[in-house]
Amino acid sequence: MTKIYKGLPRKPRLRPASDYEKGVIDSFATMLGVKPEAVYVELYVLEVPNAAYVDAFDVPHGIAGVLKGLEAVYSAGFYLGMIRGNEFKPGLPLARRLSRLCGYTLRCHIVDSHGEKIFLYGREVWEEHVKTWGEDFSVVVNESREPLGWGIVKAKRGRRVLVPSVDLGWYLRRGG
Amino acid sequence: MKRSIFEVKVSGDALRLAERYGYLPYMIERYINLFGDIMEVKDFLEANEEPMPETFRCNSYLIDCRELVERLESKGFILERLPFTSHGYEALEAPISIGATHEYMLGYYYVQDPASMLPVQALDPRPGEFILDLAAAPGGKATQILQVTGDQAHLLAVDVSRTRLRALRSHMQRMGFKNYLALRADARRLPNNIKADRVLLDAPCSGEGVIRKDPSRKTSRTLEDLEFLSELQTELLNAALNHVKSGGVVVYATCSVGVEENEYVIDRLLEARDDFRVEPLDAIPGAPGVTEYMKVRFDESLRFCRRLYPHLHGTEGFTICMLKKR
Repeated sequence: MTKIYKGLPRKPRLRPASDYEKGVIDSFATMLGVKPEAVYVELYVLEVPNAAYVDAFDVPHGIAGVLKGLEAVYSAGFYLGMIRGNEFKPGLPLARRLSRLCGYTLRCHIVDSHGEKIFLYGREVWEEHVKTWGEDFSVVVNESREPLGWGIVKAKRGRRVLVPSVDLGWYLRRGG
Repeated sequence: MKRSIFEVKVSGDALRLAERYGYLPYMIERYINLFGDIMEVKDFLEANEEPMPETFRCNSYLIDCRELVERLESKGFILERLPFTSHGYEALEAPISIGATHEYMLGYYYVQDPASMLPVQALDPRPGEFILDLAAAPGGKATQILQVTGDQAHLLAVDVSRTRLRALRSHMQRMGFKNYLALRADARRLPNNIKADRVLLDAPCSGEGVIRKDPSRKTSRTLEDLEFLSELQTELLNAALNHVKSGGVVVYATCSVGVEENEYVIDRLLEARDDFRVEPLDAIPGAPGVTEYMKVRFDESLRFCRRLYPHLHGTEGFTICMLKKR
């Protein structure tokens, strides 16, 4: 496998993912307990000059055709998340895509209405507002199974809390 | 010479109204020429004093709009369907900002002014088509294109501003769309081989139509600015026509009622190139396009354009024209 980030372009460039980059996302899917094809079909990455990470996208076939010959691509297709070294940080759209698997192949965190409100403020949710615990790191949904983001289980004062990794409130706080 | 429309001599009536309503005098003189009736100019200026209603477009791609209405009404919103829009609603009463609900974060709607929803209705994009959206950010119309095609059109969204593209990307993600490519570029310098089935150009403009939202627009643009914008718009529309296939359509829109930014721009291109014509916009409400202004006559087909005014249609000021390439 080749290491990424060599020879970064002067302008943002979208290209098919390398085997290494695919491997990073496949490992993430395995950690969640889902198949890689539940995460992506056509994996592309966006290289940004002077950035220590790449953004990963699932780019539909028709859009990949448009891409040829274009420079300075800012974004394309379905945003999956960010690859930094051998780590993958999933984005909010991926929480929506995978939330359909909650209760089937994916063990999601389910929060009550108070927990939803707290979570969307980007704050940790105490265990009494978590109706169902998922994997340590997993998709967080409300009781209607609507995706709220990604959360991780931590211990605090001898109790479990659900800590947001990224939540939909981001769209208000930073999304523009 | 048609360029004489940029030589505005301000009358006493214009000076008085400009002082009363806080506008630059040249703007009022233009409105007197546009409406041809001082009473209608006053109606127009009065309507511009009314704040815009809070309106949004339901994202039918992610949620049944009836369900969205029920959810928001259960939270204390009082909503009403916007006439002549396919997915538009007005919040008559809002207990919290319409842009701060969980439903907003879940991508179930886009906060959008009513007339801004119409250009995509005019464009009428279809699944499978290649659509080019020039000056696309922050993405109101780009997300609407993917919404009405069920995320099945192939959209190339072009904008020159990185900051605004960031907002476009965020809205695309929030609202669940994937069939797009956002390109940071000057729309006048795209590769020649890009040929779309349909092109939308909601051109950068003076914002004269959104004075209800931003009263600073009463004084922030000079006549020289208007002339500069008109030139830019002509170049952008020329590019839009270059990038549409034969038989394809270009929808040109601005949030401005300025003739200089609309009919004049298209008239110049009608004189310069013979490969397109102006098409009727029967399904879009509004007053007809202007064919005579400041004693200058424009091509008769420009009456097919549609103009929306705050005092007549309750919207922001807006102009929409549809062009078909031969």
